[in-house]
Amino acid sequence: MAQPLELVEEDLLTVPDRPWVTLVWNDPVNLMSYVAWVFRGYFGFAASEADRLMLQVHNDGRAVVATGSREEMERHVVAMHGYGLWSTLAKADE
Amino acid sequence: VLSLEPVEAGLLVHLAEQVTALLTDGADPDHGDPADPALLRLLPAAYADDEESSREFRRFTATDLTAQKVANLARVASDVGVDAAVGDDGGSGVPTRAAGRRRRDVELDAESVEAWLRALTDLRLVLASRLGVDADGEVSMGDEASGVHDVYDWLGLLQESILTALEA
Repeated sequence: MAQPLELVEEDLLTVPDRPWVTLVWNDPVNLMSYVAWVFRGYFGFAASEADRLMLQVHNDGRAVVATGSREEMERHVVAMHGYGLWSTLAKADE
Repeated sequence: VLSLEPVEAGLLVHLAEQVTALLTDGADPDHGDPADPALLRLLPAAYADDEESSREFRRFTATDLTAQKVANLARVASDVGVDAAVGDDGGSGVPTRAAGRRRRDVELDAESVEAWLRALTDLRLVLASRLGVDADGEVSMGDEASGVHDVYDWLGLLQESILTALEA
């Protein structure tokens, strides 16, 4: 299956985007058990990893819960908002 | 299975209606940050320091996200209502006056559990915003809001009980 030449060239010439991150911020409302449940259910984290990230949110005020393309991180952020978690995305090095 | 006092069932339906109205009336056609802090907490900015990107994000996501939240609230209201009508009078399906005074057992399937946990979160976020809950969880409103505070705490207990049941 041949790709149009232009597209191939474009792929080779494009510098990959710097990765983006999904952040979840601490809030005084959401229960710790709920946040861990969201991390297990949505991201599929094992209980230990979900608890670790939940505690990081709680203790440090925020945690990076995912890294990847901007579009992918936007999908995660809107999903987190669907769960009522306070979430933003940012460039990985910011 | 949740067991609700009639007054609790009524309260849940009432709160669900209020927050549904907040979500549906507050939609901003320009996709800016909502002026109401409670609505802003339900639909937060996706970029901490980039208003334009946040606006663009809202343009593509706010309608679906709002619809999802409204559907969760409707599911809670209907779970409470349907069971109240069918459960209490021997199965004839006819709600009776007496049914309004009895406890209601609400059975939640997996989809309902998901909707309830999300909806209870949204209800608590709105109440917390109205109560002025600060970053440490302290409430800035005085005694006049103590009734609201009790409701806020009760919703938290209800949510915790569902989560505990899931892990059992």
